[in-house]
Amino acid sequence: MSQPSPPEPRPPSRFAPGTPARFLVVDRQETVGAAMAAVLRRIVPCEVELRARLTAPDVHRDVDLLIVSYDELSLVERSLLTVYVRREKRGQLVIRSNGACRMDFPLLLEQHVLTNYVTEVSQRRVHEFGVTIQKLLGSEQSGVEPYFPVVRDRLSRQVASSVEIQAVLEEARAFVESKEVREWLAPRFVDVVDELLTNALYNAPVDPAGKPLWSTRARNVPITLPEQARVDVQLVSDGRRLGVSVTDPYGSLTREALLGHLAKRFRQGGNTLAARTEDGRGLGLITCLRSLTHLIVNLDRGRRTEMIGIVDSGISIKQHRQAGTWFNTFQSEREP
Amino acid sequence: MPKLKWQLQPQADETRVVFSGDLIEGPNLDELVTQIHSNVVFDLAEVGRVSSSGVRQWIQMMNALTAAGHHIAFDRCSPAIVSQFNMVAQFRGAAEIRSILAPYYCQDCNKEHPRQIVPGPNAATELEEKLPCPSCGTNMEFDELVESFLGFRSHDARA
Repeated sequence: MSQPSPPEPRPPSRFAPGTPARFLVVDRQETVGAAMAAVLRRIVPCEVELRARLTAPDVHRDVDLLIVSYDELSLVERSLLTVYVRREKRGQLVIRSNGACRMDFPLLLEQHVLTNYVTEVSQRRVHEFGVTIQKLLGSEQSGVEPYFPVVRDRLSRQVASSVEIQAVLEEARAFVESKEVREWLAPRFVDVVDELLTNALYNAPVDPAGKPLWSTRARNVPITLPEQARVDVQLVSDGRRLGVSVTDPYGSLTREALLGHLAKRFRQGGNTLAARTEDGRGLGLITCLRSLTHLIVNLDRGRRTEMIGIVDSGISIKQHRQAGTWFNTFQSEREP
Repeated sequence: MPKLKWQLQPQADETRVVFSGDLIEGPNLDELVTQIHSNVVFDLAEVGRVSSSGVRQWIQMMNALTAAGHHIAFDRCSPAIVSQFNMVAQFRGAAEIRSILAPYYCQDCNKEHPRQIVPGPNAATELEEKLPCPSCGTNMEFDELVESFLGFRSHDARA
Protein backbone atom coordinates (compact mmCIF):
# COMPACT_ATOMS: atom_id res chain seq x y z
CA MET A 1 0.00 0.00 0.00
CA SER A 2 1.46 3.31 -0.97
CA GLN A 3 2.21 5.89 1.69
CA PRO A 4 0.55 9.28 1.53
CA SER A 5 2.66 11.91 -0.20
CA PRO A 6 4.69 14.14 2.06
CA PRO A 7 3.76 17.79 2.19
CA GLU A 8 5.22 19.99 -0.50
CA PRO A 9 8.37 21.60 0.89
CA ARG A 10 7.57 25.21 1.62
CA PRO A 11 10.37 27.54 0.54
CA PRO A 12 11.70 29.18 3.66
CA SER A 13 11.45 32.92 3.86
CA ARG A 14 15.17 33.30 4.52
CA PHE A 15 16.04 34.78 1.17
CA ALA A 16 15.94 38.32 2.44
CA PRO A 17 18.79 40.74 2.95
CA GLY A 18 20.10 40.66 6.48
CA THR A 19 18.48 37.39 7.39
CA PRO A 20 21.07 34.63 7.23
CA ALA A 21 19.87 31.30 5.98
CA ARG A 22 20.64 28.23 8.07
CA PHE A 23 22.31 25.34 6.30
CA LEU A 24 23.32 21.94 7.53
CA VAL A 25 25.91 20.15 5.40
CA VAL A 26 26.54 16.46 6.00
CA ASP A 27 29.65 15.02 4.44
CA ARG A 28 32.06 12.37 5.70
CA GLN A 29 34.94 14.19 4.08
CA GLU A 30 35.67 17.32 6.06
CA THR A 31 37.46 19.09 3.21
CA VAL A 32 34.59 18.48 0.81
CA GLY A 33 32.08 19.72 3.36
CA ALA A 34 34.19 22.81 4.03
CA ALA A 35 34.43 23.53 0.31
CA MET A 36 30.65 23.27 0.05
CA ALA A 37 30.27 25.65 3.01
CA ALA A 38 32.58 28.15 1.31
CA VAL A 39 30.49 27.98 -1.87
CA LEU A 40 27.27 28.48 0.08
CA ARG A 41 28.65 31.53 1.88
CA ARG A 42 29.44 33.11 -1.47
CA ILE A 43 25.89 32.55 -2.67
CA VAL A 44 23.84 33.94 0.18
CA PRO A 45 24.33 35.25 3.73
CA CYS A 46 24.16 32.10 5.79
CA GLU A 47 25.19 30.12 8.81
CA VAL A 48 26.58 26.76 7.80
CA GLU A 49 27.03 23.86 10.14
CA LEU A 50 29.14 20.94 9.02
CA ARG A 51 28.54 17.38 10.19
CA ALA A 52 30.22 14.11 9.31
CA ARG A 53 27.08 12.15 10.20
CA LEU A 54 23.36 12.76 10.14
CA THR A 55 21.67 12.07 13.47
CA ALA A 56 18.05 11.85 14.55
CA PRO A 57 18.09 15.23 16.36
CA ASP A 58 19.57 16.84 13.21
CA VAL A 59 16.52 16.12 11.09
CA HIS A 60 14.27 17.94 13.57
CA ARG A 61 16.39 21.06 13.70
CA ASP A 62 15.13 24.28 12.23
CA VAL A 63 17.31 24.56 9.16
CA ASP A 64 16.39 26.03 5.80
CA LEU A 65 18.39 23.58 3.78
CA LEU A 66 20.02 20.24 4.38
CA ILE A 67 22.71 19.17 1.90
CA VAL A 68 23.83 15.57 2.21
CA SER A 69 26.48 13.54 0.43
CA TYR A 70 24.22 10.59 0.00
CA ASP A 71 26.59 7.87 -1.17
CA GLU A 72 28.42 7.71 2.16
CA LEU A 73 25.33 7.66 4.37
CA SER A 74 24.49 4.57 6.39
CA LEU A 75 21.09 2.92 5.99
CA VAL A 76 19.92 4.56 9.22
CA GLU A 77 21.02 8.00 8.02
CA ARG A 78 19.27 7.42 4.68
CA SER A 79 16.04 6.56 6.45
CA LEU A 80 16.30 9.79 8.47
CA LEU A 81 15.93 11.77 5.25
CA THR A 82 12.34 10.56 4.97
CA VAL A 83 11.73 11.89 8.48
CA TYR A 84 13.27 15.21 7.46
CA VAL A 85 11.00 15.74 4.43
CA ARG A 86 7.90 14.74 6.43
CA ARG A 87 8.51 16.83 9.52
CA GLU A 88 6.41 19.84 10.48
CA LYS A 89 9.28 22.32 10.17
CA ARG A 90 9.70 22.13 6.46
CA GLY A 91 13.15 22.67 5.03
CA GLN A 92 14.62 21.91 1.66
CA LEU A 93 16.86 18.99 0.88
CA VAL A 94 19.61 18.65 -1.70
CA ILE A 95 21.09 15.23 -2.34
CA ARG A 96 24.66 15.10 -3.60
CA SER A 97 25.80 11.90 -5.19
CA ASN A 98 28.13 10.65 -7.87
CA GLY A 99 25.39 8.33 -9.06
CA ALA A 100 26.29 5.36 -6.90
CA CYS A 101 22.95 5.69 -5.13
CA ARG A 102 20.86 5.25 -8.27
CA MET A 103 19.61 1.93 -6.95
CA ASP A 104 17.76 3.98 -4.32
CA PHE A 105 16.32 6.48 -6.79
CA PRO A 106 12.87 4.90 -7.23
CA LEU A 107 12.15 4.90 -3.50
CA LEU A 108 13.67 8.32 -2.95
CA LEU A 109 11.56 9.74 -5.75
CA GLU A 110 8.38 8.10 -4.51
CA GLN A 111 8.96 9.45 -1.02
CA HIS A 112 9.68 12.94 -2.40
CA VAL A 113 13.09 12.78 -0.77
CA LEU A 114 14.78 13.16 -4.14
CA THR A 115 13.49 16.45 -5.52
CA ASN A 116 16.84 18.14 -5.87
CA TYR A 117 19.90 16.24 -6.98
CA VAL A 118 23.39 17.44 -7.76
CA THR A 119 26.68 15.74 -8.50
CA GLU A 120 30.03 17.41 -7.97
CA VAL A 121 29.79 21.20 -7.73
CA SER A 122 32.74 22.00 -9.96
CA GLN A 123 33.89 25.53 -10.70
CA ARG A 124 32.03 25.39 -14.01
CA ARG A 125 28.77 24.73 -12.23
CA VAL A 126 29.01 27.06 -9.24
CA HIS A 127 26.71 29.63 -10.81
CA GLU A 128 24.02 27.03 -11.55
CA PHE A 129 24.36 25.80 -7.99
CA GLY A 130 23.96 29.35 -6.70
CA VAL A 131 20.72 29.84 -8.60
CA THR A 132 19.51 26.48 -7.33
CA ILE A 133 20.17 27.45 -3.71
CA GLN A 134 18.53 30.85 -4.12
CA LYS A 135 15.43 29.26 -5.61
CA LEU A 136 15.31 26.70 -2.83
CA LEU A 137 15.37 29.54 -0.34
CA GLY A 138 12.27 31.03 -1.89
CA SER A 139 13.64 33.36 -4.53
CA GLU A 140 11.11 33.35 -7.40
CA GLN A 141 13.30 33.08 -10.49
CA SER A 142 11.76 31.76 -13.64
CA GLY A 143 13.09 31.08 -17.09
CA VAL A 144 16.48 30.01 -18.29
CA GLU A 145 18.00 33.50 -17.87
CA PRO A 146 18.99 33.23 -14.19
CA TYR A 147 21.23 30.32 -15.14
CA PHE A 148 22.84 32.38 -17.92
CA PRO A 149 24.14 35.68 -16.58
CA VAL A 150 25.85 36.21 -19.92
CA VAL A 151 23.87 35.44 -23.07
CA ARG A 152 25.72 35.54 -26.37
CA ASP A 153 22.90 34.32 -28.54
CA ARG A 154 19.21 33.78 -28.11
CA LEU A 155 16.28 32.41 -30.06
CA SER A 156 12.67 32.89 -28.93
CA ARG A 157 9.62 31.31 -30.49
CA GLN A 158 5.97 31.03 -29.57
CA VAL A 159 4.27 27.90 -30.77
CA ALA A 160 0.52 27.37 -31.09
CA SER A 161 0.30 24.22 -33.19
CA SER A 162 2.08 20.91 -33.59
CA VAL A 163 2.60 21.59 -37.30
CA GLU A 164 5.16 24.22 -36.24
CA ILE A 165 7.35 21.70 -34.38
CA GLN A 166 9.52 20.74 -37.35
CA ALA A 167 10.30 24.33 -38.20
CA VAL A 168 11.32 25.06 -34.61
CA LEU A 169 13.52 21.95 -34.52
CA GLU A 170 15.26 22.99 -37.72
CA GLU A 171 15.91 26.40 -36.20
CA ALA A 172 17.17 24.73 -33.02
CA ARG A 173 19.60 22.60 -35.02
CA ALA A 174 20.87 25.63 -36.92
CA PHE A 175 21.21 27.49 -33.60
CA VAL A 176 23.38 24.72 -32.12
CA GLU A 177 25.41 24.14 -35.25
CA SER A 178 26.28 27.84 -35.43
CA LYS A 179 28.13 27.44 -32.11
CA GLU A 180 31.42 25.73 -31.43
CA VAL A 181 29.99 22.52 -30.10
CA ARG A 182 31.06 18.92 -30.23
CA GLU A 183 29.53 16.83 -33.00
CA TRP A 184 27.48 14.61 -30.72
CA LEU A 185 25.65 17.51 -29.16
CA ALA A 186 23.51 18.94 -31.96
CA PRO A 187 21.22 15.91 -32.40
CA ARG A 188 20.97 15.40 -28.61
CA PHE A 189 20.01 18.99 -28.01
CA VAL A 190 17.43 18.89 -30.80
CA ASP A 191 16.07 15.70 -29.20
CA VAL A 192 15.56 17.60 -25.96
CA VAL A 193 13.79 20.51 -27.66
CA ASP A 194 11.61 18.03 -29.55
CA GLU A 195 10.62 16.11 -26.43
CA LEU A 196 9.93 19.20 -24.32
CA LEU A 197 7.96 20.94 -27.05
CA THR A 198 5.95 17.86 -28.02
CA ASN A 199 5.17 17.26 -24.36
CA ALA A 200 4.07 20.88 -23.84
CA LEU A 201 1.75 20.71 -26.86
CA TYR A 202 0.24 17.25 -26.38
CA ASN A 203 0.44 16.46 -22.66
CA ALA A 204 0.14 19.81 -20.89
CA PRO A 205 -3.15 21.18 -22.30
CA VAL A 206 -6.18 20.52 -20.12
CA ASP A 207 -9.79 21.66 -20.25
CA PRO A 208 -11.24 23.96 -17.55
CA ALA A 209 -12.03 20.88 -15.45
CA GLY A 210 -8.39 19.79 -15.58
CA LYS A 211 -8.97 16.90 -17.99
CA PRO A 212 -6.15 16.35 -20.51
CA LEU A 213 -7.12 17.39 -24.02
CA TRP A 214 -4.76 15.35 -26.17
CA SER A 215 -2.41 13.32 -24.02
CA THR A 216 -3.43 10.04 -25.66
CA ARG A 217 -3.47 11.36 -29.21
CA ALA A 218 -0.85 10.02 -31.62
CA ARG A 219 1.90 12.56 -32.17
CA ASN A 220 1.38 12.54 -35.93
CA VAL A 221 -2.19 13.80 -35.48
CA PRO A 222 -1.94 17.61 -35.54
CA ILE A 223 -3.27 19.73 -32.69
CA THR A 224 -3.70 23.47 -32.27
CA LEU A 225 -3.87 25.11 -28.87
CA PRO A 226 -7.24 26.70 -28.09
CA GLU A 227 -7.80 30.45 -28.04
CA GLN A 228 -4.67 32.53 -27.48
CA ALA A 229 -2.63 29.83 -25.73
CA ARG A 230 1.01 29.55 -26.78
CA VAL A 231 4.00 27.46 -25.76
CA ASP A 232 7.05 29.60 -25.23
CA VAL A 233 10.43 28.28 -26.41
CA GLN A 234 13.72 29.98 -25.54
CA LEU A 235 17.16 28.86 -26.64
CA VAL A 236 20.25 30.57 -25.24
CA SER A 237 23.99 30.17 -25.44
CA ASP A 238 26.80 31.75 -23.45
CA GLY A 239 29.51 30.21 -25.60
CA ARG A 240 30.18 27.45 -23.09
CA ARG A 241 26.71 26.10 -22.46
CA LEU A 242 23.41 25.77 -24.28
CA GLY A 243 20.08 26.28 -22.56
CA VAL A 244 16.50 25.68 -23.49
CA SER A 245 13.28 26.49 -21.71
CA VAL A 246 9.84 25.37 -22.82
CA THR A 247 6.89 26.85 -20.96
CA ASP A 248 3.27 25.82 -21.31
CA PRO A 249 0.45 28.05 -20.06
CA TYR A 250 -1.45 25.25 -18.27
CA GLY A 251 0.57 24.19 -15.24
CA SER A 252 -1.06 20.78 -15.24
CA LEU A 253 2.05 18.82 -14.25
CA THR A 254 2.27 18.04 -10.54
CA ARG A 255 5.41 17.22 -8.65
CA GLU A 256 3.84 13.95 -7.59
CA ALA A 257 3.23 12.92 -11.20
CA LEU A 258 6.70 13.98 -12.27
CA LEU A 259 8.49 12.12 -9.49
CA GLY A 260 6.22 9.11 -9.94
CA HIS A 261 7.08 8.95 -13.64
CA LEU A 262 10.77 9.11 -12.89
CA ALA A 263 10.53 6.52 -10.13
CA LYS A 264 8.88 4.08 -12.52
CA ARG A 265 11.51 4.58 -15.20
CA PHE A 266 14.38 4.11 -12.75
CA ARG A 267 12.76 0.91 -11.49
CA GLN A 268 12.70 -0.37 -15.05
CA GLY A 269 16.39 0.48 -15.37
CA GLY A 270 17.10 -2.75 -13.53
CA ASN A 271 20.73 -3.65 -13.24
CA THR A 272 21.95 -1.00 -15.66
CA LEU A 273 21.37 1.57 -12.89
CA ALA A 274 19.83 3.89 -15.43
CA ALA A 275 16.36 5.08 -16.23
CA ARG A 276 14.68 2.85 -18.77
CA THR A 277 11.20 2.31 -20.11
CA GLU A 278 9.69 -1.00 -21.09
CA ASP A 279 7.48 0.30 -23.87
CA GLY A 280 8.57 3.83 -24.72
CA ARG A 281 6.16 5.60 -22.37
CA GLY A 282 7.92 8.35 -20.45
CA LEU A 283 10.84 8.18 -22.86
CA GLY A 284 10.88 11.94 -23.35
CA LEU A 285 11.90 12.54 -19.76
CA ILE A 286 14.62 9.89 -19.92
CA THR A 287 15.94 11.35 -23.17
CA CYS A 288 16.21 14.76 -21.49
CA LEU A 289 17.97 13.34 -18.43
CA ARG A 290 20.51 11.52 -20.59
CA SER A 291 21.18 14.42 -22.90
CA LEU A 292 21.39 17.29 -20.43
CA THR A 293 23.74 18.26 -17.64
CA HIS A 294 20.93 19.97 -15.74
CA LEU A 295 17.17 19.53 -15.89
CA ILE A 296 15.05 22.03 -13.99
CA VAL A 297 11.29 21.86 -13.61
CA ASN A 298 9.45 24.96 -12.38
CA LEU A 299 5.94 23.99 -11.34
CA ASP A 300 3.25 26.64 -10.99
CA ARG A 301 0.02 24.73 -10.57
CA GLY A 302 -2.79 25.90 -12.82
CA ARG A 303 -0.65 28.60 -14.38
CA ARG A 304 2.34 27.20 -16.16
CA THR A 305 5.00 24.53 -16.23
CA GLU A 306 8.48 25.44 -17.24
CA MET A 307 11.01 22.81 -18.25
CA ILE A 308 14.58 24.06 -18.47
CA GLY A 309 17.53 22.16 -19.85
CA ILE A 310 21.20 23.05 -19.77
CA VAL A 311 24.08 21.24 -21.41
CA ASP A 312 27.79 21.90 -21.42
CA SER A 313 28.66 22.38 -25.07
CA GLY A 314 32.41 21.82 -25.09
CA ILE A 315 32.76 18.40 -23.55
CA SER A 316 32.90 14.87 -24.89
CA ILE A 317 30.10 12.36 -24.42
CA LYS A 318 32.25 10.56 -21.88
CA GLN A 319 32.84 13.73 -19.86
CA HIS A 320 29.15 14.48 -20.13
CA ARG A 321 28.25 11.09 -18.67
CA GLN A 322 30.86 11.40 -15.93
CA ALA A 323 29.62 14.84 -14.93
CA GLY A 324 26.14 13.46 -14.33
CA THR A 325 22.82 15.23 -14.65
CA TRP A 326 21.54 17.58 -12.00
CA PHE A 327 17.83 17.53 -11.41
CA ASN A 328 15.81 20.20 -9.63
CA THR A 329 12.11 20.73 -9.08
CA PHE A 330 10.71 23.98 -7.76
CA GLN A 331 7.12 24.36 -6.69
CA SER A 332 5.56 27.81 -6.67
CA GLU A 333 3.87 28.76 -3.42
CA ARG A 334 1.03 30.60 -5.16
CA GLU A 335 -2.41 29.09 -4.78
CA PRO A 336 -3.59 27.34 -8.00
CA MET B 1 18.70 15.00 -41.38
CA PRO B 2 15.50 14.08 -43.27
CA LYS B 3 12.82 11.80 -41.94
CA LEU B 4 13.47 8.08 -42.04
CA LYS B 5 13.74 6.38 -45.42
CA TRP B 6 14.68 2.83 -46.33
CA GLN B 7 15.86 0.73 -49.20
CA LEU B 8 15.20 -2.98 -49.58
CA GLN B 9 18.07 -5.19 -50.78
CA PRO B 10 16.90 -8.79 -51.26
CA GLN B 11 19.65 -11.33 -50.51
CA ALA B 12 19.89 -15.12 -50.65
CA ASP B 13 18.13 -16.01 -47.42
CA GLU B 14 17.13 -12.65 -45.95
CA THR B 15 16.19 -9.12 -46.90
CA ARG B 16 18.53 -6.30 -45.98
CA VAL B 17 16.80 -3.01 -45.19
CA VAL B 18 19.09 0.01 -45.23
CA PHE B 19 17.68 2.92 -43.23
CA SER B 20 18.73 6.55 -43.36
CA GLY B 21 17.47 9.72 -41.70
CA ASP B 22 15.83 10.53 -38.39
CA LEU B 23 13.41 8.14 -36.72
CA ILE B 24 10.92 10.76 -35.67
CA GLU B 25 7.17 11.20 -35.89
CA GLY B 26 5.72 10.31 -39.27
CA PRO B 27 7.46 7.42 -41.03
CA ASN B 28 4.98 4.94 -42.38
CA LEU B 29 6.57 1.84 -40.94
CA ASP B 30 3.32 -0.09 -41.53
CA GLU B 31 4.19 0.11 -45.20
CA LEU B 32 7.59 -1.45 -44.53
CA VAL B 33 5.96 -4.34 -42.66
CA THR B 34 3.94 -5.20 -45.78
CA GLN B 35 7.13 -5.25 -47.88
CA ILE B 36 8.92 -7.84 -45.76
CA HIS B 37 8.24 -11.52 -46.50
CA SER B 38 11.37 -13.18 -45.12
CA ASN B 39 13.93 -12.94 -42.37
CA VAL B 40 15.30 -9.44 -42.25
CA VAL B 41 18.47 -7.51 -41.40
CA PHE B 42 18.16 -3.83 -40.55
CA ASP B 43 21.21 -1.75 -41.42
CA LEU B 44 20.97 1.16 -38.97
CA ALA B 45 24.28 2.97 -39.52
CA GLU B 46 22.69 6.06 -41.03
CA VAL B 47 19.93 6.59 -38.48
CA GLY B 48 20.43 9.91 -36.72
CA ARG B 49 17.98 11.27 -34.21
CA VAL B 50 15.39 9.04 -32.59
CA SER B 51 12.38 10.69 -30.94
CA SER B 52 9.96 9.12 -28.49
CA SER B 53 7.13 9.16 -31.03
CA GLY B 54 9.47 7.47 -33.54
CA VAL B 55 10.25 4.84 -30.91
CA ARG B 56 6.56 4.05 -30.41
CA GLN B 57 6.10 3.46 -34.14
CA TRP B 58 9.25 1.38 -34.27
CA ILE B 59 8.00 -0.85 -31.44
CA GLN B 60 4.72 -1.42 -33.28
CA MET B 61 6.68 -2.43 -36.37
CA MET B 62 8.87 -4.81 -34.36
CA ASN B 63 5.80 -6.39 -32.80
CA ALA B 64 4.20 -6.87 -36.23
CA LEU B 65 7.34 -8.45 -37.72
CA THR B 66 7.79 -10.74 -34.74
CA ALA B 67 4.13 -11.78 -34.93
CA ALA B 68 4.68 -12.64 -38.61
CA GLY B 69 7.41 -15.06 -37.54
CA HIS B 70 10.35 -13.27 -39.15
CA HIS B 71 13.80 -13.48 -37.62
CA ILE B 72 15.10 -9.92 -37.19
CA ALA B 73 18.73 -8.86 -36.95
CA PHE B 74 20.20 -5.38 -36.41
CA ASP B 75 23.50 -4.53 -38.07
CA ARG B 76 25.79 -1.47 -37.83
CA CYS B 77 23.59 0.17 -35.20
CA SER B 78 24.34 3.89 -34.93
CA PRO B 79 25.09 5.36 -31.48
CA ALA B 80 21.56 6.86 -31.45
CA ILE B 81 20.13 3.36 -31.93
CA VAL B 82 22.38 1.86 -29.24
CA SER B 83 21.17 4.57 -26.91
CA GLN B 84 17.61 3.40 -27.52
CA PHE B 85 18.59 -0.20 -26.66
CA ASN B 86 19.67 1.18 -23.29
CA MET B 87 16.56 3.24 -22.70
CA VAL B 88 13.69 1.22 -24.15
CA ALA B 89 13.46 -2.51 -23.57
CA GLN B 90 11.09 -3.19 -26.46
CA PHE B 91 12.98 -1.15 -29.02
CA ARG B 92 15.11 -4.11 -29.86
CA GLY B 93 12.51 -6.74 -29.01
CA ALA B 94 13.85 -10.20 -29.81
CA ALA B 95 16.22 -8.99 -32.52
CA GLU B 96 19.73 -10.34 -32.80
CA ILE B 97 22.32 -7.56 -32.64
CA ARG B 98 25.09 -8.34 -35.10
CA SER B 99 27.14 -5.19 -34.76
CA ILE B 100 27.10 -1.69 -33.31
CA LEU B 101 28.95 1.49 -34.19
CA ALA B 102 30.95 2.83 -31.26
CA PRO B 103 31.77 6.56 -31.25
CA TYR B 104 35.48 7.41 -31.21
CA TYR B 105 36.78 10.95 -31.00
CA CYS B 106 39.88 12.52 -32.50
CA GLN B 107 40.94 15.57 -30.52
CA ASP B 108 43.24 16.83 -33.26
CA CYS B 109 40.59 16.77 -35.99
CA ASN B 110 37.72 17.50 -33.58
CA LYS B 111 35.81 14.78 -35.39
CA GLU B 112 33.93 11.70 -34.34
CA HIS B 113 34.55 8.40 -36.11
CA PRO B 114 32.43 5.29 -35.67
CA ARG B 115 34.03 1.90 -35.13
CA GLN B 116 32.07 -1.25 -35.92
CA ILE B 117 32.20 -3.87 -33.17
CA VAL B 118 30.37 -7.07 -32.34
CA PRO B 119 28.72 -6.72 -28.91
CA GLY B 120 30.10 -10.07 -27.76
CA PRO B 121 32.02 -10.99 -24.61
CA ASN B 122 35.17 -9.12 -25.76
CA ALA B 123 33.40 -5.90 -26.66
CA ALA B 124 34.31 -4.06 -23.47
CA THR B 125 38.00 -4.89 -23.90
CA GLU B 126 37.91 -3.82 -27.54
CA LEU B 127 36.39 -0.50 -26.59
CA GLU B 128 39.23 0.25 -24.18
CA GLU B 129 41.71 0.10 -27.08
CA LYS B 130 42.83 3.30 -28.71
CA LEU B 131 42.48 3.56 -32.46
CA PRO B 132 44.37 5.64 -35.04
CA CYS B 133 42.28 8.40 -36.54
CA PRO B 134 41.53 7.59 -40.20
CA SER B 135 42.29 11.20 -41.12
CA CYS B 136 45.39 12.18 -39.12
CA GLY B 137 46.59 8.98 -37.41
CA THR B 138 46.35 10.42 -33.88
CA ASN B 139 45.18 7.99 -31.23
CA MET B 140 41.43 8.22 -30.69
CA GLU B 141 39.54 7.16 -27.58
CA PHE B 142 36.15 5.59 -27.26
CA ASP B 143 33.89 8.52 -26.37
CA GLU B 144 31.35 6.93 -24.05
CA LEU B 145 31.36 5.07 -20.77
CA VAL B 146 31.79 1.40 -21.61
CA GLU B 147 29.39 0.16 -18.96
CA SER B 148 26.74 2.65 -19.97
CA PHE B 149 27.15 2.07 -23.73
CA LEU B 150 26.98 -1.71 -23.42
CA GLY B 151 24.29 -1.58 -20.73
CA PHE B 152 21.78 -3.32 -23.00
CA ARG B 153 23.83 -6.53 -22.73
CA SER B 154 23.16 -6.77 -19.00
CA HIS B 155 19.46 -6.84 -19.79
CA ASP B 156 20.19 -9.80 -22.05
CA ALA B 157 21.82 -11.53 -19.09
CA ARG B 158 18.93 -10.70 -16.80
CA ALA B 159 16.29 -11.95 -19.22
